[in-house]
Amino acid sequence: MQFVLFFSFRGGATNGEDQVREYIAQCLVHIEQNEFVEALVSLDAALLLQGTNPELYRLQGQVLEILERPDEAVSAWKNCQKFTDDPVLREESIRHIENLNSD
Amino acid sequence: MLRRICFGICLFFIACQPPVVVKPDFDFHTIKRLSVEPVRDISSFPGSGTIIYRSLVHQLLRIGIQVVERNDLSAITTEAAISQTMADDEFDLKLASPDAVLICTISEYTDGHVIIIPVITEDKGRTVTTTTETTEPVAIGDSNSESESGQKTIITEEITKIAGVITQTERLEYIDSRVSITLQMVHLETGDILWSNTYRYNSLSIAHAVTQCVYGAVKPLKKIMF
Repeated sequence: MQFVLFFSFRGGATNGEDQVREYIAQCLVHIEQNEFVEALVSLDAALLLQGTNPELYRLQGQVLEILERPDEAVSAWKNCQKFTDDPVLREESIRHIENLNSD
Repeated sequence: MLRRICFGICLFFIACQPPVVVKPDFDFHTIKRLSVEPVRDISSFPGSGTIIYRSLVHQLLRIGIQVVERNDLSAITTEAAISQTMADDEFDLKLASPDAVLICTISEYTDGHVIIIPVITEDKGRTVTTTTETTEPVAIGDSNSESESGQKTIITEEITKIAGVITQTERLEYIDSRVSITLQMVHLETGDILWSNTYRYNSLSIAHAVTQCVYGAVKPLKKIMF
């Protein structure tokens, strides 16, 4: 006689992809209109939901550079370097960090 | 797979290669003045040469290098001649001669590079616990695990971890600007190439990319000339 019981504990898929997509879209619209402070606000909101996406950190680094906030830009590029597997993006992050650090 | 590994190794060596090349044993303190050659436009972007040229002169001055103007010489001599006529003094235009010339080549100048942002769906995985209950008959007299009906219950528990999956559900695009230049310093007395550097930079604005690219390219001169 055999009983088999299943218990499943899901770690859970991250919800809010729609929200992330919306924040990024908002951010890109702001960038297009040269509203970089507003772009940063949308980007920060997207990063709260998806904090391991290196492309978001890349964009954050670029926006912060335009806003002439080098220390925060360095931090964003460091996160980009940390989360990416792409050697080209990693190299790009290193170049930006070096350039910003020498100012 | 092998291709990826080869690409990675190549990229590693390219990344490790120092972009700055300096002629050994040359005393850069003897270079007091530089002139900058006119920069040729990249074919896809008319006016790019002038933009880079102006930025180059600006950045050289910013780090404290004397720059001798050669490109707008005709305008300078005309202006000097006019001034001389007005003042009625002896026409005496002295132009300082440079010690070396800086040659710049633009290899990339674009404001239409598409960057893709993936929207990531992250399944963090799950743990499945399987509990199996089996009953087996046991010999009479086994007082330790004997039940009333003479059967033993065995409960086994198996925990299986199912790995998470990261999937890209959507991709959003934006455009950034990229500028890449190569600089060479040529000694005017000997014709030797004294110094060379390649630098590239990307930004959300082409103006910012130009400024940062030229600044990054010129910056190593500060270390060797002062």
